[in-house]
Amino acid sequence: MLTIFFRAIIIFVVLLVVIRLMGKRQLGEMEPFELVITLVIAEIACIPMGDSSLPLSYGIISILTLFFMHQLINIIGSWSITLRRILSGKPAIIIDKNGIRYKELQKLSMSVNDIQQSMRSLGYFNFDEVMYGILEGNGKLSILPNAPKDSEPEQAGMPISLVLEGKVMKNELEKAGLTEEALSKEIEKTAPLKFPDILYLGMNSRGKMYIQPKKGKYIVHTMDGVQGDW
Amino acid sequence: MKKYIIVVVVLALIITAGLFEQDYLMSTMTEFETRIETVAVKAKDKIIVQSDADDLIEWWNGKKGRLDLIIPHINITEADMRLGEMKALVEVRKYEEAYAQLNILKSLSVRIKELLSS
Repeated sequence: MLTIFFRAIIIFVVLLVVIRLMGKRQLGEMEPFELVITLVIAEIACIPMGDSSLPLSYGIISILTLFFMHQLINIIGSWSITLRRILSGKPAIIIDKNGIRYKELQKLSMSVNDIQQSMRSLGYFNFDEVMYGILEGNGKLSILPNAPKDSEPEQAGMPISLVLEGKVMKNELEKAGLTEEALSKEIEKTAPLKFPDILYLGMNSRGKMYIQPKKGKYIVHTMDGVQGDW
Repeated sequence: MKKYIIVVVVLALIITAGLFEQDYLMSTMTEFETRIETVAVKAKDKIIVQSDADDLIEWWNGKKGRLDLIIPHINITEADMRLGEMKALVEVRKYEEAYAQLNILKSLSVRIKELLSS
């Protein structure tokens, strides 16, 4: 039993470290250690149930060990903020007044698409609607909007991503009726940026562009003569 | 406070169960080895009788109920089979083969003890 106790602790700690290293995008609404417990407990409960050659005590001790670890982490977390941050992670600001924080995204192993997905689920489709975007310890995105949410938004269709992490999205470009050259010229009107320097470039159906360089503040620019139907 | 008490109780429960398991398994398996050794010497000297095999099996049957709770059942089944085979071999006076079975049982007992340190 003590062997199982120590083995369960070792598996728990290794899984916790791995989940923490994998970053927040792997989490749902759970803290990292809760996810680890959820992952392990299902297996632990099933094995002695399904395999009659194993004593039930193996499953019971393992489950009790996980419960013990859960309680212990909660207690340790209430003692020390530093330890709580190590175990559960801390909130990360991924969007601020300068736009998307590329370095933070890289640290979190996240892509622009991941943020867009989380933003859309909260009802935000444009990056310029967001003043601050904070990725919480449990992997959920919290947003501080630029304008009050109940104000009438400009209905200009959903923005399409023309450049993502330095790469031109050819299908989207075609949808917008643009060529790489035309887009490049339009970008140069606002800043001396090449495609590889751009983290994200989105445009709505009225030609309003949101350009987020990999370094520096975002730029909002309107392209004349765009009347899209997307 | 309630949380602390629960953590301490759970930890105490696991440690107590673990220590009991260690003590019980060690003493039972050591006794099993001693009993096997006694019967094995008789088998080697070809003076083993049916009651020696029966006594060993009876002793084992009395212990395996508790062992079921702490060691994989496959080990218990294997010991059951080896003991049954040994009894049959003693019945037909194949002492050398019965001796071999007893040695396998001894190895099995050592293996079960090693479960604690794996």
